[in-house]
Amino acid sequence: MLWALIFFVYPVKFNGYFESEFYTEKEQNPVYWNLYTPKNYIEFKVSAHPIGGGELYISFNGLSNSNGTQFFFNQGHLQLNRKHSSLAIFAREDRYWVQSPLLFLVNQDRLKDDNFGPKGEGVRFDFWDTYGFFGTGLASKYKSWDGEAYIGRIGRNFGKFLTLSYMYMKKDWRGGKEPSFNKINSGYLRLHIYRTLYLSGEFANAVHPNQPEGDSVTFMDKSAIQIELRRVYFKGFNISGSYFNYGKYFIDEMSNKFNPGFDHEFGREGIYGEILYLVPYKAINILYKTSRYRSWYDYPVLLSSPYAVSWNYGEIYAEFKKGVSAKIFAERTLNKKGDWRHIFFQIQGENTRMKVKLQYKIKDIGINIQKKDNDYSIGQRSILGTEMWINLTGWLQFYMRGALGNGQGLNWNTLFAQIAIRKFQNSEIFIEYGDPGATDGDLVNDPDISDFPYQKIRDRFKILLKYWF
Amino acid sequence: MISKFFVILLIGLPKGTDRGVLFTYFAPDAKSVYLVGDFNNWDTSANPMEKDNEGLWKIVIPLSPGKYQYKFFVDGRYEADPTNPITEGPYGNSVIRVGENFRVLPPKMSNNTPMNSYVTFSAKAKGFLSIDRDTTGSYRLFNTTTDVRMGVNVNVQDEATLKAILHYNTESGQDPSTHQIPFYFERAKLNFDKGNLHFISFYNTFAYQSPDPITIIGKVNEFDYPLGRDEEGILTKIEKPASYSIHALYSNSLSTGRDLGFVRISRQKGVLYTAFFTYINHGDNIEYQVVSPDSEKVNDSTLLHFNTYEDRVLFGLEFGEKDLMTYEFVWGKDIKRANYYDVDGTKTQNVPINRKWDIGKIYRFRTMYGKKTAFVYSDVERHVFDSLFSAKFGKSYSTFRLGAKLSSKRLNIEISQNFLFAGKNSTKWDALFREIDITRRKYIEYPLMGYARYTYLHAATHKTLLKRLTITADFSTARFALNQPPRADEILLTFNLPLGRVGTYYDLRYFHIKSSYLNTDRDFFDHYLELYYRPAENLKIKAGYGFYPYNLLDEHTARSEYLWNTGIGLSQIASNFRGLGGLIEEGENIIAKNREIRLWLELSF
Repeated sequence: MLWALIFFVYPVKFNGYFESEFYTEKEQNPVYWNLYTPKNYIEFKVSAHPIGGGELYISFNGLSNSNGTQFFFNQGHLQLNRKHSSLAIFAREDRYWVQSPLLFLVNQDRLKDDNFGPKGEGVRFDFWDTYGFFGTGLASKYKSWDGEAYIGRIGRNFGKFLTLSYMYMKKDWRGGKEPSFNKINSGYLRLHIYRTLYLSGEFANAVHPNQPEGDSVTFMDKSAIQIELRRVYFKGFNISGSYFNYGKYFIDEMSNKFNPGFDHEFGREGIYGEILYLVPYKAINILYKTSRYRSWYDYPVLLSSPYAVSWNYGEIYAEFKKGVSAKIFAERTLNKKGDWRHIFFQIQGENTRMKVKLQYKIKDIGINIQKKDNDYSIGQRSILGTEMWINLTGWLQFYMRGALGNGQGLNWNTLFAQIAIRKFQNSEIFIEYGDPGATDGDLVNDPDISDFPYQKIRDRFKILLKYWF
Repeated sequence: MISKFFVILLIGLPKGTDRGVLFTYFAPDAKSVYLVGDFNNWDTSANPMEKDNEGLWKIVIPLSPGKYQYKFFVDGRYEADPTNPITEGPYGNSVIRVGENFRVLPPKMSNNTPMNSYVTFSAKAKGFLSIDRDTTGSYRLFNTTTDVRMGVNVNVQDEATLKAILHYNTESGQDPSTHQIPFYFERAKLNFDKGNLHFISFYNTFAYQSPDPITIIGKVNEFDYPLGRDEEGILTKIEKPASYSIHALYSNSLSTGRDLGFVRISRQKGVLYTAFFTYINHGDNIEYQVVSPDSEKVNDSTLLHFNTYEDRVLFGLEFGEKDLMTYEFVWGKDIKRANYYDVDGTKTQNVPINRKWDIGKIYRFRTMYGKKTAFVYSDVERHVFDSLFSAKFGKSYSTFRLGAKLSSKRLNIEISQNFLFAGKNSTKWDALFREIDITRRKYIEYPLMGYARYTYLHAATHKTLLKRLTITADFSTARFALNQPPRADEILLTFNLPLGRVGTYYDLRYFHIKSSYLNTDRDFFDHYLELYYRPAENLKIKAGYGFYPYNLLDEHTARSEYLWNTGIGLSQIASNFRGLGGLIEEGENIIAKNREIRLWLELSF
């Protein structure tokens, strides 16, 4: 009670988290059980809200493992909040989100200098609802190398009818090829037409040192545009569609989408469509998505003429009585490298005592590696996976997930099991067996199990203690 | 014991000081603020508060132990203390509990818990970013830094107190392999007080200042000067006011590894006092690299590089009239081990050419007369060496210093004249090293042959004009009367103009250095302009342009500290072959080019 009084009356909060981990694993050669150095981790969080709209947050951690014991600063910010604005100086935080609804020009991970944890530091200013205007200014320093990122965005809402905005972004670095920066200018427009129907468009132009010079490179080659019509509602059908044209040399290192090191989606022109049908009076959704476009890249090679790509995806999701649901989807991609077909089934049941999920996926249907009809695949394979939660008592829970893979001449498997004890307040104890990593991305859809035919059950036991204070 | 131990956060409560409890109220626009409470029967005119430059109203009241209710009477209205969340009664009066020695205690939770033991936390956080031109001349975001200090204070039954500071700074100390930023234990101090016995254990913190009244004229290593921050050790004091005192100290320097022991016993009878002290200093490892004065011109091959280890034992006797006059006699021995090298600048190789021991004698007589606000002092010292450097240099030297200091609320003036006498063919290397170490005056190049005279003058004053604008002026000059006279003058002017919650601060500095030896006669100007917005007492946003005169790690450290860190320090001398005068120019040039734009956010609680 006394503690509660202190922490709620005073504008400062101390919180923390402690974790202790012991694990042992069976090494293969020579065979023996290796007991790893126990890991102890403690994290403190301090937040203060002194008067005047100021805010301070810092977190720091202590880590004890085979490297010894050390204390480190995790992340923190100093912030000034006003009714329609905020100013923050931050370190190592995820504060880079800026709206780019169609082209996704900003990706937080590309700005926060994220390699084994964010390291970027910067300042961010936001304002909103100021005579209809809104905006963001952001300047950030990459800390593990010499460079900076700047983003400025300003826009105005004309009631609900029209939104307009302009954004300027620049990533700056030292030396190398001139210009030593990547600059983006972009504009966004959204028009409300009728009820749920909106027309929106986003256009961006890039400057990057890797763009070639010369008359053959047009302005549109360095630009990207996307126009979207969202949510035409007609008798239970929701229809959306968009047209996009991403220039061959539209490079945006602050995004994932147009980043050569990540999704490199530049050099594409095409359409995207989506139909969602909600079956009346039934808990059934039917979804169809398609995309057709021409691509200039067999990445990283720029081709002399584009080739066609089509992608189709159909899904039925249904919920039945007594907590049972099912999902089926089929997906097909046709591109320069082949014809890729997958099919997926899932059934799930749930009650107060337990929850069970069963998944089955057949991937790369029809591809036979014996015939060498595709160099890019390990061939058709099927993966069966299951995941279950069982509440043994009010405080004891059993959890398990595992998968079996069956391919052409190969079998593989993975298993993870856990007993969770939540008997004590603010704490959790876990006893674990196996490898959690292979199926943590939605079971059989995780590439670690669907694309990696050498997974084996790992003999590994782990005891984990977690405590919050 | 444990049940009485309590953790609480003293956010914004009034603070205890040596003279009483400090109450503050932030109201830049208010015309008058009075402190009212049950200690002055809610008299609205008894305790007027004073406003500082930035609009913070302050008053210190000596309160005896007990619990008090109070409010601020601001332009005719009663206001509770907005930073103190503890209130009582139907009018929401702010509440404070005061212990012995004006210590502010956490609120009493019940009659059964005396609350004499508690833990409090405080923090000061700063974030800044700077914008500066790069080599191509375009402006870029140059740096971003967050700096947080967290203080932990533990009080056990008012007898033992522990203060510790944890610190991180994202600009420094980052591990390049993991890019993690260590949170390190910056400093700590443990006090234990029981009657006349005081025990202090300290780590990396301000340690000790000798009760020796001649605090202005002494040497760094001999306590007339407060021991610096990089000390760890223990101090025991047994003191009976107006009767006797015994001080025993052991301290180790974290940066140089120097060990120091000091014992002082003093006895006072009426206004007269007498004291005996002994002092042992072991293992100062100091490196010097200086242009040889024997050379006609600056040339790398004429550099000498010294590496000395100094042990010193001193015995002293003081007597005088307390707070009026002091006489001090010191006799001691210097034991030195030194390597000195010829440095080949082109090959960057150090070749030891000699290694010697020296046992020298020190005789010193010092005297001071006057009050703390105005006094004169003199200082005579003679050093005699057995062998060190004697083959090349002289065997002894003497110094004589005469000075005066005047301090008032508005004006501080100090002038001193220092004379050095040395035997024939002596270059007074030892005196030189000592001078550099003691005064750390950046403009000393070296005293040369024979007789040397060194004049130092410093004057500072401040004045508030038009009720708001405060001007501070600081002038200092140092001149050598030598055969090759170096000279340095420095003027620092600051202007502070607060206008309610916003304000501006400007400082202008002029620095002139002249040295015929280095063929230097240069003027330097630098300045810094700052605009700030202070929405609340504990929050400040600042934008500055120019050379920022204070460093982040130690606020309001003067520019000389910056110079010391950037180009004029002893360690820099050791790694730079151009002599001090050149380094001064280099440091000043760095400053002259440093025209960055800074944006700050500061928060404390």
